[in-house]
Parts: sequence; structure tokens; C-alpha cells
Amino acid sequence: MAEISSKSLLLQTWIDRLRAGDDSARAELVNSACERLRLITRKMLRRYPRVKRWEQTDDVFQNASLRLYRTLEQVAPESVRDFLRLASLNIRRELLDLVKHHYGPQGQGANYATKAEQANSDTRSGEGPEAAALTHEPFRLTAWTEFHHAVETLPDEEREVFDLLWYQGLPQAEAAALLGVSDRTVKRRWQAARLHLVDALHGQLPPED
Amino acid sequence: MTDDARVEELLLAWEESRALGEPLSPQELCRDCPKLLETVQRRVRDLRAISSVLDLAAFREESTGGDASTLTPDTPAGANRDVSRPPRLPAGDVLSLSGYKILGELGRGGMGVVYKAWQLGLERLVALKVILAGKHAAPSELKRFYAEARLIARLRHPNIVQIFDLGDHEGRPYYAMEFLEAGSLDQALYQHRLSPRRSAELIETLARAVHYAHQQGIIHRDLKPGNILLTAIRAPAEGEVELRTPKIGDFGLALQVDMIDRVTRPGTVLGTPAYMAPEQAARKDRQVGPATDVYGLGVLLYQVLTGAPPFQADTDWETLQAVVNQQPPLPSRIRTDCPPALEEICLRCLRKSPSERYTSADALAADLHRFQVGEPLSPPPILPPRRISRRTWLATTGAAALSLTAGAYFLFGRHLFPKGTPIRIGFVHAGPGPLVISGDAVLDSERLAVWELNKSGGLLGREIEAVTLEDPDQQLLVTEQAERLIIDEKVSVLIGGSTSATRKQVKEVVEKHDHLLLYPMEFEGLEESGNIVYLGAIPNQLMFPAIKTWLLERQEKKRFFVVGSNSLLPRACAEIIKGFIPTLPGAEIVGEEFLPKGSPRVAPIVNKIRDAKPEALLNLIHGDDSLTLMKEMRAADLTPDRLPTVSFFFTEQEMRSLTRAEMTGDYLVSSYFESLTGQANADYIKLLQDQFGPQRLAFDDTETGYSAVHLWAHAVRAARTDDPREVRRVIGQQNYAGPGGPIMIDPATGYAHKFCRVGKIKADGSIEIEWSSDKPITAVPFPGPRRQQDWNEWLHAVYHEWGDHWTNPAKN
Repeated sequence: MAEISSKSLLLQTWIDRLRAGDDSARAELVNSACERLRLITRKMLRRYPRVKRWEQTDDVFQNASLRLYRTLEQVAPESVRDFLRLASLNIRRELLDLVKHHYGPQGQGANYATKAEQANSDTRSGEGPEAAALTHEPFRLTAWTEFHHAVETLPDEEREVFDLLWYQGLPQAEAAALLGVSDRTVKRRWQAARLHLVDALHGQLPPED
Repeated sequence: MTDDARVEELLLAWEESRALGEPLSPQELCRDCPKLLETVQRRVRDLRAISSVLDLAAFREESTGGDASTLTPDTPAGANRDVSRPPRLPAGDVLSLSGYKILGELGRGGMGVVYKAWQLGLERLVALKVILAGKHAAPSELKRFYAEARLIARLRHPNIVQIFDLGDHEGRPYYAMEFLEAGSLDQALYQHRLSPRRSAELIETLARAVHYAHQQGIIHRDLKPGNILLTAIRAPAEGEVELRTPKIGDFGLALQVDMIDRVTRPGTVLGTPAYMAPEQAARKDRQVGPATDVYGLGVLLYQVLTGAPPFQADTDWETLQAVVNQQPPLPSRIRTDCPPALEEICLRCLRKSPSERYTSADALAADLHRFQVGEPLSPPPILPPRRISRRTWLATTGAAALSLTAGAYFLFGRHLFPKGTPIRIGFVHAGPGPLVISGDAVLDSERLAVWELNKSGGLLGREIEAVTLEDPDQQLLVTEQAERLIIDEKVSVLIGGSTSATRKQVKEVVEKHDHLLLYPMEFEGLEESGNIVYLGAIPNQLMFPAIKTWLLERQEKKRFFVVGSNSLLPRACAEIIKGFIPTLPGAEIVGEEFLPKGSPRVAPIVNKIRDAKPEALLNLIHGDDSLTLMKEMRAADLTPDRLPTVSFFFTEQEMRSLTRAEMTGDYLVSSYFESLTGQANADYIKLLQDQFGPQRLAFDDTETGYSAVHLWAHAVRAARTDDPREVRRVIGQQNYAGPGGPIMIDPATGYAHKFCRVGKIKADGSIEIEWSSDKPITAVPFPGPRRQQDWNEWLHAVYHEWGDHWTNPAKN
């Protein structure tokens, strides 16, 4: 079994400090857990040139941080594993909300088109907004919604490995150490999780660029 | 073991082999259990598909200067990188041959892997790029790669990442370059947003660097945010974000690598589709040039403003289609605070046709500057010539001609050209190769004349269409292409011809087809053809008066030393001078030397010059080799007051674009200088600079090219037809008042009468005209004492000496 790595050790230190009543450790925990969120958000929004991606990425990051921060105010995790499970859950929820509230077909996505139209009629006359781009993107993001939902339906063991490796970006050896299982087991669960996702989505994965 | 468990094991084995860089095929995996093959194949496909969905590597930093600590290469997604990878060098490993200590991996891409490394000996941090593609490349391709890379490594500019070293490691080329702390523009743009003004400033800086490289003849071809590296990012809590010292990385190398890679992966489109110019996306390789980088700068500007490149579709193929066919969404739609002027600049860079974009990166920089200081932008570019490349030869007559004609009508109004088909001018300006930008300024000036004519109604009620021969870099092809212009494109006249070597080949074609060539460059004469109108000055028009009237009679210089490049024009001119000087009372030639082009060994020549004690140096060297010589002369204390130098082939343009301290106080001889007074010249310069930016210079060849078009137009009007034979018949009777004075042709020889002017080079690079002939001088194509037949024999001997070529096979 691999040794607990520096990242886990660091997380453990902060968890201990948090449990000892050191509130500043909470922010540290949140920051380290949300690092990976930026990458995932970028990937989800990369084809969204018509939104101001900087703000959107930062908004998601802010919201997720806040959400996790609030959760940590209510629940103090006992272990790194505990914390990472919590963090992954929050990140996933935030990503789902991102799609639902901002871009989803039932959410403000419809408003976005209206806003664009208004903005255009204020500044430029003539042509309307480009419909293709507005309709295509929510479709793409819907695929991501399905994807995050599908992760929630994975068997527990697989979901936990998936959380650690993908939502948290942990190296496999570190995940193995944290879960107290062999590297081989992590590899097995990681593989099974991904194949289960493909099946659960009937092969309809989020479009690649 | 159940089948499911077996499949699981096989897939794990596949993933492991893939992580090691050598994935086993399903067939290999199922060698012992063929009945599982189908399942394994399907599952491998599934794993590949989801791996690429999960792969976040592209959203990390893939730049050369990225921070190593942000990369975690052994995350599962990261491990799923593609097939052939360079060996993973462990940290601390020393590339023993080359003296680098590897400190960590910075990133990897299709091209290779970049390490952060310590250069032993010089004791500095570097980014070390080991190239993936070299392994299977042919030795000749690698040799070419190194040759090109060495040229690129010579670039020195504060905004270009410096290449320190080139070499190979176990057969793979590598190069070491500056290590930059703050990562790439790509990363910066994810976190920061620039104000429109800062955006313009950033792209202006980059455009100037790109222009510098273009002047050295190097085109980047792969400009994208990942290739722009930064030394620092300043993001104050209040105020604007500032990206410090942007530097362009991988200058020109990306394409060189593609080139050697193409050997192993034929038919693939290489590069990043979203950042490709239309001519790259359409694989029109012959059109790739400076304008390709102007497009790249436009994409950068677009992304800096809006956060994304203009075209991005679900698949590479769709992206390429969009790049070629679609118009970019307006930046102001995406970012409402985008100022209209900046949007205009951006869209002008993103034009589909290279010739409709800014004519140079410098012109783009100038407009970005105008935007920042609130000045009006330069006027939009003039009607472009229709470019024909060898590759698109057969396709061009259809759609391309149609769209251009439509464009012309749109610009000038259909009523202006009531009489059907356009009259076509074929411009022949051979460029010696992909790394050299030549003839562009002359061509621009000629296009300007076409534009003027069209603006005032064309000729004989018909529009004039400019057709350009694309880069006939292989000299053999010049004849073939001139022929195609005449036969397939049905041009009414050819204008141009670049060097004497090129002209001699085009001469055969126009004579064969009884056609017409207008040759606008200064040259040696020694030629006659009923099918060529020679508009450039020849030795008896420039050299004879400069030597006799100005140097000998006015300056009282009698001892001359001749130095020149070792190619046809200087050799022939020297020969002509040698026949002339002995006819002058008291004058003599005390020495003569020719140097190969790019020769660094000028010191022995300078010694010979000093020892011969000349009173004036007659310089027949082409281009910047002159500077090398002058530098050495100054070092040897041969200053203009002690030994004045008179240069005949060094143009104003060359002088201004290069360091000029070495030439201050010396003299240029030409029939035209930009500093000439007179309304015609003032109008011409204004027109030129309105179209191409205030940096644009007029010089002898541009002026002659411009006048050539107008003189031909006069002849067409007089002949009432564009038939080359009729035009030729009347062109000798025309008189056109050009920017540099009246242009007239001597009907007896077909040569133009030319002024001789001597100008002194001032410290600021401008020319002060010291002396001018009273009137244009009549050309004597075959000057004495040799007779025409003797000259032909002399030329024949040179041709023979050079292996039956008009170019010197020795480096010339």
C-alpha cells in the first residue's frame, strides 16, 4: 500500500485544525478541493464563446466554494476521505446547478437569448442574435448534466474512486492509500466506473471538441 | 475465470500498455481468446471515448513555460495520452551529450515534450523541447529541419522567445529556449480579462515582433495563445490587468516539425484547426505567407477580446470547414464593450483571402496603435490581385474569379465597367523561396496603379484584373508559369521579372508567344528583345554619369575600386565599368573583388581595398552584405571622408530597414529617390502610405513598377486595344509623367530614358539628393568598347561557367 501523500496529509492537517476550532482551515480546505473544479468547468464551458467565460468560470468557482464552505460550517468531516466525498458531492451539485440555472433549456438559457437580442437592438440594428450557437450549447451542457447525474448512480465503491480520481484529481496511488485498498483495486474500480458511465448514458457522452 | 472477469483483465492490460505509450491492439490482447475479441474491441472504443471526455489535460497548462507544479502527469486522465510518446525522462536525469539536467516536465503535445531543465556550464534555467517527430524522419528532412531551425535561432527580439541551443538526443531533435515564469497567454486568459485598450496593446507588441521575423524571412504559421508566453501577470485589485512582456514561442518551428512529420503521417492536416488560417485549413500551402500570421494575430486579438477563437465546432473537420467558409461572429456581439474600431481591425485580419488582410504585421501594428491613441484607422486595402498558385491552378477560373469579379463590381459599381470581360495584367515577381519575402513592395505599388485605373473607370470601359504568379521559387518553373499566364489566364501583358536570371527565362516565353513583358528593375542591359520594354536603368544611365560627371569632374576622384556580389548583375556591371573607366582621362580601376552572398569573410577584401589606395569605392553588392562590408571598413578606419563609397544596388528600403550607422555619409545612385520634390511624387507617396501605412517606403523599383502600369495603360488607350502586339507598337510614342519624372521609351531599343541621381545617406536614414542629371539619359544597352556580339559571347561564357544557368551555382 502506498503511503499517504502530501496532499492527503495536508488535508488531514486542516481537518484536524478545523475540528480543533480553527476556522481559517475551512477556507484552505475549500480552496484545495475546488482546484479541480476550475478545470472541469473550463471543459464544460469551452465551447461557449458567447458567454463571458471568465465571469462564468469564476462564478461557478465562487458558488461551489461558498456551498462547500457552508456545508463545512454545518458538518465537520472526520477524515480526509469523508471530506473529499463531501467536496465531490458539492462540486457535482454545483456543476448540475450551473447547467440548470444558467444555461439549461428550462433555465435562464431562454432568457439569455432574449437578453442578447435586447443588447443587440440597443447597440446595433439589423441582424438578430445567432440562433445556432444559442441552441447548440444548451444541448451540449444537457449532456454534461446527464453525465454528472450518471455519476451519482454509480455503485458506491466505484463512485468513490471516480470522485477521488476525477472530481478531485488525486493520483491513483494516493486514492488507493486513502481508501485502504490496492492500486490494482483502484484501477479495477476506475475502469468499471467509466464503463458503467458509458452504459448508463447509452453511449451519449458529452460532445468532445 | 468468467468471460466478464477475463474481459476486465484484458482491458486492464490494455490500459496499462496504453499508459506506457505502446497500447496493445484488441487482436493482440485476444490472441488466446478470439471469441472475446468483439467485446474487447467495443469496450476499448468505449474507454477511449470516455477517456477523452474525462481528459482535462488540455485545460491545464500545455505551454513551454508553464509551471511544472500544476501538472500532475500521473492522474488517470493524464495517463491516457496518445500512442507514440517520447521517453519519459526521469527528473534529475542528465542528457549527458548535451549537458542539461532535467528538473521536471512542463507539458507535452503532439509535437513533443517540454522539460524544465538546468543548462550545465551556462548554469541557467531553460525550457527544453524534445521533438517527437524526428524518430522516423529521413536524414535529408532532419538536415533541412536543422538548417531552418538555425535560421530561426538567429532571431533576436525582446518579444520572441530566444532559442539557445539546438541538437539531437538519441536521434530526436531538441532545442533549448528561454524559460518564462508566468506561463502562457492561454492560461492567463482563463483567469484574466483584458480591457480593449490592453488587448490592442498586447497584440500590437506581438505584431511588431512578428513583423521583425517576417523581415528576416521567417513566418510563424502557428500563432495561438499557447504559443505566447509571459514573464509576469499584473492583476491589481483595482485597475486593469496587464500581461507583461509577451513573447512568441516556437517561431516557425512548428511548421518545420510538421514538415518532417509529414513524411511519417502523409495526408494529415497539422496544426490546431481553430487557429488555422483559411489557406492552411484548405491546404493551399503555396498561399501561406506573412498574411497567414496576420490572420493568426487576428485570431489572438479575437480570443483576447471574447475569450474564444472565432471558429470552434464539435469536430476538427467542422472547424476547418467553418474557418474556410464562415464569417466570424462579430466580437461586439460577444463582448458588448468592444469598440467598433478594434472590431474593424480584428475582422480585417480575419479576411478569408490573404490579400484582403493587412499587407503586413507592421500595418496591423500601426492600426492597433492608431486605435490606442484615438486616430482614424488606415483605409481598407485596395482591390487585391487574383492570386494563382500552382496547386489551385485548375480550380481558380471558376468560383474564385466569380467572387472576385463580384467584389470588384461591389466596390466600383457595375456601371463603371460597361464592356464585359476584364483586361488582365500578369505580375511576375519571383520569390526565391518560402523563407524570403521579396517583391512584395513592388507588387503592392503595381496593384496600387491598377486600383487607380479601375477607380477612374478602367481601360476601354473594361475592368483591369491583376493576376499574380505565386512564388515561382523553382527557377525552371518561371517559364512554365509565364506561359500559363499567357495561355490559360490570357493576360494582355506581363509586368515584372525580378532578377536578371528570371527575366532571361521569361524572355524566351514572351518571344515564343510574341507577347509583351514590361521589366521594371534596374539591371545590366546587354539584351535586346522586340517583346520586352526595359523600364529599369542600366549602367550607362546610372554608373557612367555618376562616375564621370559627379565623382571625376566634381569630386576629382580618379582611383576606383570595384566590389560586388558574385551574381550576374554585378558581374556584368563590373565588366561594363571596366570598359568605361579607361576611356576617362586620368581615371583607373585599382582593384576588383567579388564576394559570395552571406560571406562573413570581408576582412581580407577590406585589406585589399586599403592597400590599393583607391579614392572612391564603387559598391555593386546586393542587400545587407553591404552592411557587413561597411562595418568592417569603418573598423579599419575607412570612413566616408577618407574613402567615399557609392552604392548602386542598395535601395532606400533596404537601408531604412537595416542599421544605417555604417552607411551614413556614403552615397547611393538611383534614378529615383523618395525625397524627390514635385507634386507627382508627393501624390504617389501619399497614395502609397494611405494604402499601406506610414512606414511604407517608395524606392526605385516601386516607382518604376507603378509607372510601368500607367505607361502601359497610356499605350492601351492610344492603341484602342489591349492586344500586346498593338500596344508594343505604340508604347514607344507614349509619355507618362511618373513620380520620378517623365517616362519615355526609346523606340529604337525598347529601353526607357532614365535620370541619374546621386544621394547622400544622412544619419536618420533619409537621402539628400546631391546631384541629378539635367534630363533623362538615353540607354546604351551594349556599351563599348565591346560590340554587341562580344557582349553576347561574354554572357555566354558566364552562362557556361555557371553550368548553363543564369544563377551562380556557388553561393551567390
